[in-house]
Amino acid sequence: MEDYTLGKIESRFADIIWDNAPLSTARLIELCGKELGWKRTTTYTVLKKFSERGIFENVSGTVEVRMSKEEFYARQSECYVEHSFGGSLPGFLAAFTSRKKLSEKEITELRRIIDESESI
Amino acid sequence: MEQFFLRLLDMSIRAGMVIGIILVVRAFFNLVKIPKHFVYLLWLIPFIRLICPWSPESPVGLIPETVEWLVMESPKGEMMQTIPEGKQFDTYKKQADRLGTQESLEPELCQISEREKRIQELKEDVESGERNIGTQSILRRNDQKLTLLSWGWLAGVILLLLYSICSYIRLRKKLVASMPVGSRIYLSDSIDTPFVMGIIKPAIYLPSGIGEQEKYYVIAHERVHIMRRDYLIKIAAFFSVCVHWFNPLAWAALFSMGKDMEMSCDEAVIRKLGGKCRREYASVLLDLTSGQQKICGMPLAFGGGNTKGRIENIMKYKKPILAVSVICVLGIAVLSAALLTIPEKDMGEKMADSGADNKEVVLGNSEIGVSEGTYYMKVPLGAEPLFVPCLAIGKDSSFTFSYDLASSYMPYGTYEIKGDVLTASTSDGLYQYQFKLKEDGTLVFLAKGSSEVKLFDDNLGIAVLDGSEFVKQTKREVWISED
Repeated sequence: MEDYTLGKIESRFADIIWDNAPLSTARLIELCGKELGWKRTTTYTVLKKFSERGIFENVSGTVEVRMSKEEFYARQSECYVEHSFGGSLPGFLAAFTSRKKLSEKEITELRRIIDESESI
Repeated sequence: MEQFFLRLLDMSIRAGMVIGIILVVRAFFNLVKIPKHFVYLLWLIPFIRLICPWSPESPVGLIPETVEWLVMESPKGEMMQTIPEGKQFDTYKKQADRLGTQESLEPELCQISEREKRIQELKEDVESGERNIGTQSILRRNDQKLTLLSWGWLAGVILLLLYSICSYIRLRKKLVASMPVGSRIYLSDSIDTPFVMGIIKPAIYLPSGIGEQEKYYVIAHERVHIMRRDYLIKIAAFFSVCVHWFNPLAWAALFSMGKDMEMSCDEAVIRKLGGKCRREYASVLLDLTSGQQKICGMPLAFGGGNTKGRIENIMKYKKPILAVSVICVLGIAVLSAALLTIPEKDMGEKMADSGADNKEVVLGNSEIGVSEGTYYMKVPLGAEPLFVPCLAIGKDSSFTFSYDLASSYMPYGTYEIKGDVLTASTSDGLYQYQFKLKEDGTLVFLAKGSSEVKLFDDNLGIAVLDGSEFVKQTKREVWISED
């Protein structure tokens, strides 16, 4: 099942292209630099990923759309996969929390602890 | 290599004991509801124990320096092999004569090569004048096993390091498309929990889906981590544990420390932002952990995580009163002293320690005594010994006595001096050797009071006889005896 989800940042990138296509890669780089703070290489890397997914394509210096925005989001509603975070973090990093699966019961219980504790 | 591994093993065991104690203390601290701040501080103690091999002495030291009970008694003569007869015997003898040269041996002479290797090692030891007592010389007997273990350990460390480096590179790649949103703060699509990364210029990474309120509290939390240099501590701790990867207590310590690190960080945030924020803060934590997860047949990312503990801690945290803080600090100081130092050695041993090779340090009741170092036997003129019997005097009244190159049994143990007679008894209690102490510092072997010192093979080595004299030498020289 292909991944039709986009993270927030990816969405912004895709929107830049959908809103301005067709556009030169130079222009894309300029816009990405301004709105996302990306370097040239970063823009190229991300564009390549989108090409592989068949959404956009770089045709000799011009970025063209292969899948329209409507089409993309239509496919997305059919079934979507959790954005794959691919693997755990290195052990020497201090992470804020882990995406541990908390059961409904546990969540409710913790909610209760938070709400019912005496105000200090 | 093997020596290093043995020292490491020793260190690991001592660290393990310290960790055990700290875990108990930690449980107590938790019971008495002491702020996690102090509990987190406690972990400094085992950490030092893990990486620092040296400890100062003090009267309150609890953990001794060498762990004697680790010493494995290998059965007497376990490595003794029967000398093959005939043709092989000659080859063996020839090889014994060629000691010191590296020669590869044919497979069927493998047994012999093992022995020869040990002969070579004994020779080297004699020449360097050192024989360590304790873990090292004992485990030495099981040479092959030890070498295997040492390399196994190294392999483990390398694997762990490689794995860590790979995860780090993978993560960096994922973070390429991240978006800066503040000074050293980035949003990324590819992560599901915030964290701090970087050694020199640490940066905060946030999942792109994070909400405004969440962002506020998370950044406060991560800022505390940065201020306290937690990102460095975590790395240092992780790599120390990698070195001690075979010790399960080291991992237990790492996990517990991680939990305490997070909880004390939560406490710091509450202190900074005010107790009123704790509800919101705890909610943010809960949301980020349990967050919306729409799955379509994909396995969930799982991980450790002490969310329940943290939320409870956040809600119940109270700033400690000064008295409690002071007591805690004192308690930790005392604990550090007890666990980071080694028990004082008694006066006699201390003198032995401080005695340099040339100084005559008196051990024993009379003016005649022995000093630390190696006493080599005087050999008769004309003899060409492959190996000179020697008696090595070490710290803590220990000795080793090498009189037969070909024997795999190495007498070692402790000695005592009564009058002018030194009696050395092996640790296994099976043998004893007596020497008379002459005024000029020579030791004279007394066969009457000693166990057999018969050579395994009279062609290999010089026999120790009644009246043989042993003279102290720092460097091996052949001393010719007068008779």
